[in-house]
Amino acid sequence: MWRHFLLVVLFGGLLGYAWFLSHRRGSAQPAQSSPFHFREVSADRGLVFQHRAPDLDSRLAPILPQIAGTGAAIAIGDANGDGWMDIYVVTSRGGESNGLFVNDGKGGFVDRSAEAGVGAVNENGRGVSHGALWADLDRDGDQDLFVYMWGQSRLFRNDSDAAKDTIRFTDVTTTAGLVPWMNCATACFTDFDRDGDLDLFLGGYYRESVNLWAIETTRILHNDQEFAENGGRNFFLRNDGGLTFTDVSDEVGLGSTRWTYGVGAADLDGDGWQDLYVANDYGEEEFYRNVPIAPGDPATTRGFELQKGLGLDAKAKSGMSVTLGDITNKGNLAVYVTNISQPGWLMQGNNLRLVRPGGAFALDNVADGDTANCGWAWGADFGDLDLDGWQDLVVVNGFRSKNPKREYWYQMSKLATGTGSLLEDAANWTPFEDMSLSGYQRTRVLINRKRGYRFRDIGEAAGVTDLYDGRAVALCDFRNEGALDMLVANQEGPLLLYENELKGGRWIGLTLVGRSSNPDGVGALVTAHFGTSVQSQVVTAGQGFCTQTDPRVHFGLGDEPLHSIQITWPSGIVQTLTSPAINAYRKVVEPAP
Amino acid sequence: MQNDAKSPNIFARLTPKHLVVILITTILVVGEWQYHVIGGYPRLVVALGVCMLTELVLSMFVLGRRVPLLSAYVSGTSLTLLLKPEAGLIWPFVVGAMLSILSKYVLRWRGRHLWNPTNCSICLLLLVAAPVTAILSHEWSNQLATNLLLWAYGLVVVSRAKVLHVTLAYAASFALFAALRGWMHAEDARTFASTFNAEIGPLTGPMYQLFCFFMVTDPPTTVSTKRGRIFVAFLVALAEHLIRVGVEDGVSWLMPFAPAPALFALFFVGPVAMVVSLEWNAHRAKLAGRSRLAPTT
Repeated sequence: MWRHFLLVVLFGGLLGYAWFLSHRRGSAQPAQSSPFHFREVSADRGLVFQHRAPDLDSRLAPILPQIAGTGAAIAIGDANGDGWMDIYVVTSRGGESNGLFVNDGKGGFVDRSAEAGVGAVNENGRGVSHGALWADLDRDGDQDLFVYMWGQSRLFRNDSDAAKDTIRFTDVTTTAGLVPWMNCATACFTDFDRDGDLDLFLGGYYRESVNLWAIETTRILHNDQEFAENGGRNFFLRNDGGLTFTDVSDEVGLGSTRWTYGVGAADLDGDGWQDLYVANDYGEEEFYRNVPIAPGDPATTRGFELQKGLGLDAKAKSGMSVTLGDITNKGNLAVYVTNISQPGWLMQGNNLRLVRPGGAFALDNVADGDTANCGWAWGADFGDLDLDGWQDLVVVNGFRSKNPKREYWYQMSKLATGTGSLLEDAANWTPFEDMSLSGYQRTRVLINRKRGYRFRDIGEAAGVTDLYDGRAVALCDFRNEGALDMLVANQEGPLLLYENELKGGRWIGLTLVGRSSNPDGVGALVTAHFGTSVQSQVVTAGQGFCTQTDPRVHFGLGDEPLHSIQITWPSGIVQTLTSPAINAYRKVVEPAP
Repeated sequence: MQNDAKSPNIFARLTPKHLVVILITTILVVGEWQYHVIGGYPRLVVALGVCMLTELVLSMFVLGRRVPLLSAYVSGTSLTLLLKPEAGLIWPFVVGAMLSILSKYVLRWRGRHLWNPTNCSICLLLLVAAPVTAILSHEWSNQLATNLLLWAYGLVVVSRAKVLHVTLAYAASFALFAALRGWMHAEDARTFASTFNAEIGPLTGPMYQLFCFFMVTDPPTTVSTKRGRIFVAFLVALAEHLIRVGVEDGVSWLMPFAPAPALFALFFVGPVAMVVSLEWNAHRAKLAGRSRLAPTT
């Protein structure tokens, strides 16, 4: 009898232990303090903008939140060349205008989208915005604008005149050689052939044969939750100069039909050529290594090779975004890919993959705790928020916040576990009505704990308390004072600007100007040596989820002396800045070969 | 069942437990090879190791003898396949494995354990460790061919193990109730196909394969008669149907069961059926004993 009693006690004890462990982890005890504080100031700064979902074919209306659950996006760039970062923000509803918020250098923003001619781009049946990118595509010293869409994407040449304070863009879509029609969900610029022109990767979501305003069939969805390959095709367009592109997807080996949501470009394997890291919804991540595909001129002989054996297929998931950073201060990049975590239903966890230093190229997944479990996570960005010399991480999340008492997960689980032929038919999906789906999730502000890849969520203590459904997030120093602010685009919600009230601190920022390389220095690897730290950052034009973050690089330095900064340009030129002045942005021009 | 130890036919010498072991091992190997369903080998090693160790220790502690570890092996493997906690967490497999085996020694009635061990531990973890746990959903892909292959293979094995009637009774009952729910949700006959498709969907998924072949058929936790087992399978499907309808209607106390209606249905119905069956059998045995003792006239 006593034996049985003992076992009963053990049984109960185990249940109590499980409850204790799970609730301690699950509640993620909010931090009581934060080394910095965010204040939401969008209205005060003139950033009044609301994202709205598109109106599509009426047969899709019952599950429109699923069909059009994305589209809130931001692109940060210097539209008028005045050294202050401006914001292009998109909505997805036909007839509504995107915003071009120009930074006045005094802490405010003015929407000049109408004057610039880049606002009224959303038209039902022709195309609605899903994201945008800034880049100097014609090498004339200013930032052109590419708006990727469900439908026909648009390219705008920058014809602004800084001297006259005019801001004007010309639509050059018809002559640009873009893809005539695709449901593009992500894009990035990269100079894959090192010719100094930025080439364009486009990630397809729905098949390009699908016109979402006039569908021919309701069988347009994914046919597998984790291994789907019936999505839109990915494209790769080579920049031929003069704002014209050529589709070279087949030639370079990029034509996957997975459901691509995120992409990041960098020389991850350290061979001097820009690689691509792709995150796919309903599928595995993909690393495309830039390789020679034939001897001769790189313009026609470079391509991409999908790398197997890296363990990326070991767990297919719901890849939402790709973000690059350096969390260890050892100079090796990390690739952060967001996924879905919903207790009870699906605990996929995000991936934080470190490029293994030395030896054969390998990636080690070190995501754990707060970096792994961020709810239904979308965009992310790395940046040193407290200027302590370590990159922190912000992650936005939540799918749909409507009636908090009605949850769509149960409805989704019915088809999600069924056979693909049932799953892909939108007609089989239960109408969303007012149901929430992983709603009311707070943005994570993950502070780097400086050892062992550990981060801690301090969002609430830092003042980030909104519960909108975030999609895109970017850290950017809009005031050029060294503190990184946080800009968030919310799906069917307002654009939010969290101003970082951190005062003081030591930092340095660099704006790269390429000569042999592309003018924006996209793809350059910038490595700062300070104290005993070696921190690397890569210049990107498109990463995270439908985001272009601050095009400059920004290093917090803590209390450490800055020894030097090394820039490895995409051209292969290596430039070293010795003991550069800190607490300022500095323009760095690529030296001659 | 041909399990004559002297039979030259190896297949004929296999017991139902051996067949289950073979089936679940095949599913594990194929699933990992094709879809990486385990989520990391430490999970498998821990679940199997803890299950077997716990079984070994408890059998010595309670029974004073070692029992075969095949059952613990099946529990550990099932736990690895079905439990999908937060990335990086191993402790749910330790606790889940211990709960599985402990349930056999703690939750007993008339000398029999009442719950399928894995069913018991997973349901309990889903309730007490809700913030960090989830169960298998679509990690096996949604390919029809894969599901059909597993169904076919599973059916052969359960047929050989003489529990095919349980699997079929549950599947047929599920389909019946799915049609009922589909009818309840349909606006008209035209939309019935769509609503029925949604309701029947889970039956074609991986979790239900494991459920149909391993849990609802588990011999030690099912009633003794064939008719009784079919009836219990129907009751499990009925309970699942009621959970699903309640969840659809937003009944708040049913929400914790929403991620795994089938598992919770068995969790509630199985032991009750077992207790009723054991009591009925005891009652009948008692009556039979009395009649044997009664003086003949």
